Amino acid sequence: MKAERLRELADSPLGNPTRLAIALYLLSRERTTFIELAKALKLTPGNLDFHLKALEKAGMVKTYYGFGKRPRKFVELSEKGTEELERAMRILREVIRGD
Amino acid sequence: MEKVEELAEALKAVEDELNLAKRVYLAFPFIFWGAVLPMLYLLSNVLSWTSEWFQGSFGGNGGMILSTLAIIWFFTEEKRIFKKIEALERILGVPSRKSRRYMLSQIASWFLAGMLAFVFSLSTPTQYEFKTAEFMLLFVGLGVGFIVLSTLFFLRRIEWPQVLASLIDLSALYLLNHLNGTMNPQTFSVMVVSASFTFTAFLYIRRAMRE
Repeated sequence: MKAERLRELADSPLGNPTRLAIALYLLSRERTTFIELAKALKLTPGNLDFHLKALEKAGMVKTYYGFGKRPRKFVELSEKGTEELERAMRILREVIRGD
Repeated sequence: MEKVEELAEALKAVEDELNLAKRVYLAFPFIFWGAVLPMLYLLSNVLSWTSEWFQGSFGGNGGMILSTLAIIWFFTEEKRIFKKIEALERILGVPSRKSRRYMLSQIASWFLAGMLAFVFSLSTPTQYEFKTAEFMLLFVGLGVGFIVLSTLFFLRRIEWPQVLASLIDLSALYLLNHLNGTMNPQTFSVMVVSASFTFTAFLYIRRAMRE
């Protein structure tokens, strides 16, 4: 049962630990910049870009550009991202509790 | 087995972080009004003293218009905060405090507080500044008090920082009657409400940092 649930999680867009960390980081914030996100999660820009593109393709995050002194890329969690995260956390709790 | 324990620890750490974020978001209304209220009062007074255009254009209702703008700003911010808190609660797996009845009771609390404060302050035969000050203290004190009661009724929980804010505002009514001209009553009420809200926000954030 546990293995089945974990496989279900692994097959979802949040099955990757880095993507799960990105979604959790975004959840507690309204939005963040690409650079802040890379710094906080200790990811290289290339690596973060790769994961963000995958999450964006799955409709879980939204990215857009804002302008200040220089253009900045903003990232925020979408409603679908919140729903997926809710499901992922539920699975993790079930696995831990052994439900 | 070890892996599951590690996972449980990681999940606990994540939940602690999310709980901290949620508490900070919950303190938002108090932080907002604690900061905006004195700024609004100051701005409206400074504009009245210095700008004939401000006095002339709004026919003496400039302060009211600024307050309305602040309320609109608050609701715009609060709508986003609301969604965030709801999302955090969903992820944390706790039942949402945002049931329809609970929300309606919160709106009704402010409506009732406004009505009662209006009736009480109307019956006070005194000058305009005093009435406005009395209305503000009564409105905020009763409003927060009713919110505490609605939270107690729907969520079976007492929000002590809010109880304190309500008591500070309502007890300041006594002091309002004993100012003896040492301070403008409106200035006094703005300071009291702002202080009580800022203190409430401080208590929320301190609790979030400790737990």
